[in-house]
Amino acid sequence: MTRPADGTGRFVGKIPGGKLLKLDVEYSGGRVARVRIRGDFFAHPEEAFDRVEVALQGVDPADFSRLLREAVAREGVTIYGVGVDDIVDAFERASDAIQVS
Amino acid sequence: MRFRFLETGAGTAAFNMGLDEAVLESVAAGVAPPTLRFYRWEPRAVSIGYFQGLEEEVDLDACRRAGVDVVRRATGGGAVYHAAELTYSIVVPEEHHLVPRDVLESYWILCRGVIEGLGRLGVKADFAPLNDIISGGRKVSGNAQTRKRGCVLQHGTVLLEVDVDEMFGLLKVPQEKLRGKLIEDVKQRVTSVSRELGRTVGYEESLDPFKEGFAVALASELVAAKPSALEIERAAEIAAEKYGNPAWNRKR
Repeated sequence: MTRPADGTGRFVGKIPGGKLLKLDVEYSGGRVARVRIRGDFFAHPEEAFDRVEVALQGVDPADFSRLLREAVAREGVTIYGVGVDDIVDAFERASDAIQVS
Repeated sequence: MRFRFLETGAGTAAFNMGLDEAVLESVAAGVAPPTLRFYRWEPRAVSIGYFQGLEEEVDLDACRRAGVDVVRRATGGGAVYHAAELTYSIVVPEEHHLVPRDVLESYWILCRGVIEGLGRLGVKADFAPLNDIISGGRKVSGNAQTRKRGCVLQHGTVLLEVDVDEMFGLLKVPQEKLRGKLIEDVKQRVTSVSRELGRTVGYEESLDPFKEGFAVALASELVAAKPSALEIERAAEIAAEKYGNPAWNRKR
């Protein structure tokens, strides 16, 4: 399925046995302009998780999974209630649901 | 072993969160011992977790109309309506033997204070990972932890009374058409000390049972004290700069 190059997508879901995950993605020119990962999960250190989000700005969506894992490792973030795989899955689903803005 | 024990009574949302952080600063600096604090919220308040969206979770107009404070916590977790409850915070250095490296295990150990306190009031409760305490399968306490400056800060609430309808009047729901069902679900999943005991239990009555409960769980003597003048000053500063600041509260 071809995704639009510009627009926004959203995924909201409760992770089985975990917390609520809300992921919003904004695409511009086929790249990830911004991703916002929200919910009632925990991540330590919290500010390092903020930096992970920032590191994902402007990336090629094909690289999202790898760059997310690299940023989480580089920043030393541990997430509780939501797994990195869940975030990747939420990103893919949000990207599949893009609405042209 | 000794813990400093602070009972600071009612505070605004920004001051309450500021004082938790000021205590963390002083424990981290080695000028205060490990500390347990009990407090409540005046005016009533909604706190949201660090990773939640403010406007997405909270009906800010409804809070303003009701005179309810709104604050983003330094800790993760979900939105909490702070009304009839006992709130506690614990600050302990990470190298303290009470605090395992493993976060899940440390939740369990620190939550034992709440479970022991509930037991003293006559409410049987259990730990429900990751961060809840349940009685009869229903949530009666939520807890949240962060680690900063080599210290663990865990704070949490014990629901003394709960009014789910009032709470949802202040919160947004993901799908408005499912609001009624969601409220009914939460009523099934949440309880309070008063509901479990069939009588009203207030903040004052709950203080001693929880103080004893934490003393047992922490295997420590709790030495009553007041926050230092520096902690009060820092709490006010942190409240003004951070927790009372829209830049922080709206950061997500």
